[in-house]
Amino acid sequence: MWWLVLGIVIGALGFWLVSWAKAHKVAVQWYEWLLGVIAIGLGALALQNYYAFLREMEPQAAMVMLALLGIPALALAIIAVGLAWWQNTKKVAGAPKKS
Amino acid sequence: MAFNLTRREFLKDLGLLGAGITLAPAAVSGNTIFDWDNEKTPQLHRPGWVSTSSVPTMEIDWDKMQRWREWRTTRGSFPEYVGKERDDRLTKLQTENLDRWVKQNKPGYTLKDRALQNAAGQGSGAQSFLPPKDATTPDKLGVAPWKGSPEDAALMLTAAMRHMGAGTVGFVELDSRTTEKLIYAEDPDKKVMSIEDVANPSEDDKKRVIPKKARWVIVWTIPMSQETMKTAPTALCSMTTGLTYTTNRSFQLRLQYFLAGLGYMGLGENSTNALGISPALGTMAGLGEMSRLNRLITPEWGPIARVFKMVTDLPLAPTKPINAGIMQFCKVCKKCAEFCPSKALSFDTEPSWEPRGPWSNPGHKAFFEDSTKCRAYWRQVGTNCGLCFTACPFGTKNQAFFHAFRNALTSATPVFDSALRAVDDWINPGPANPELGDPFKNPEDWWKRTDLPIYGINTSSGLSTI
Repeated sequence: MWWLVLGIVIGALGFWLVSWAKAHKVAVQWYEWLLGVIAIGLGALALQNYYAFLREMEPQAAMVMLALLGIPALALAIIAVGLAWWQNTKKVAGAPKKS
Repeated sequence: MAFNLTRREFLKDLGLLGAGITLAPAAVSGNTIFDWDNEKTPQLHRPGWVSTSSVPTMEIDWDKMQRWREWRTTRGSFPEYVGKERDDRLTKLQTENLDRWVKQNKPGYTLKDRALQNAAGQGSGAQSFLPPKDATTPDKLGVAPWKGSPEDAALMLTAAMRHMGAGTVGFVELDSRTTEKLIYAEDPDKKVMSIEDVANPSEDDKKRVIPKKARWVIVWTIPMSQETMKTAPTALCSMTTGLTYTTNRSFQLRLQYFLAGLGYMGLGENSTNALGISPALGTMAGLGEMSRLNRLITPEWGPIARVFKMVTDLPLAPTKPINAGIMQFCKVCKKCAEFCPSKALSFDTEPSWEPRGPWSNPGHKAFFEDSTKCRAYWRQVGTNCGLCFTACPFGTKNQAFFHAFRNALTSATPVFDSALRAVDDWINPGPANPELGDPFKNPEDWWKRTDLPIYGINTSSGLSTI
């Protein structure tokens, strides 16, 4: 059930993100999408392991798993968003000025 | 190159991602409804990473193996192996330690711990080799005994036994050249276990007779509380072992009544660890693999389970041994040996054909232990220790995704075993000084936990988690 809810939330957020990008004419490269998907996957795993280890009464294991999976997830998400932002900023900055 | 998805394309991919996240646990846990394994082998739900095999992962030389006298283990012959003087000294030390610790309120040995330990050992059913005489048999009802195929019988028994408290269930067919050698030659009370061509079982002062027609052994596990085991080696931890044995005595009696009610005999353990070699029969029945502990490690509960058995003349489809990469992992891991306070367990990388003393039976390639060191430590702490079980990376509660990932990886290849051991050290580091008998978790914290499952056991472990 938890996974179903998470899937719906991620789906809704993804839909909003794509709609927003299209509305604002933000171009996103294929590898930026890929990095984002991997980040979401790792993040979901980090959350599952964190809460499951807490249910197992193993708080140290929960923190270790949150760090092991959560930090790479966060790093990949930052890289994906950063790359997209940088490329779109560069494109806007390099566009010819209106006369 | 810009990668701008159309809305339709994106929604399609998004749906796949959502479905993937939603269904991921199912894919990894990989539970099967029934594994009939091409040879009509009825199995309880087993995790998908467990594969069956015609031979166990522990090598056996059936020609060398002989039926064993149970009382030759340190359970029955400890004074002979260490000498009477040392035995007496250890008995005195045990009495003094337990007396001092209860007065000092040492965590795990306080009055409440000792009281619960004692209480958990009470209330069990009578334990007998012979079946009950007062069962409502088909004869008494005026009907014929139950009839069905060995597969039907195995399925029926598994369902009944699960409901009465068994964790996992397997079946071994006795063969005089092989598996029959796992039935003891002599029981713990030194009575001869004689297999004879007679119609009915019997027992007198000198021997117990198993009829030759009783060719099947029912083997089952009863899990212990993993959380309680974390308080090893204290009296509180010992309580969960005691509770399992108590539970099984009642379980065995019920199973004997069930078999008698069907019109068949159920020959049980006359006392704890009687009748046959539990880890060996568990291995042959596919309930787990032998390990560095020289005990059974199960896929469902790791080593945190006890193994029991019963001989019957009800024809049963045998279950096959398993390979889940456990024995292979043990060759690399060695965590149990490191945490053993008495250093009784083997540190060798490969198992050996040579036992380390007369307390072990030869004929199988195992990580033999120095059982006298183990047993001497039991006396010092006044319990049955259990630190090696607690240290085992497989003795987990299996709710986190990591466990499924580790199990699948261990089963697939030994390449990552040392890395997985390293991760286990981070998530289950254990006490700084295990040689001092420090537990993994403070027993006083256990007494504040009111949210443990009934009997401290997650009974759905190994079953579908969706």
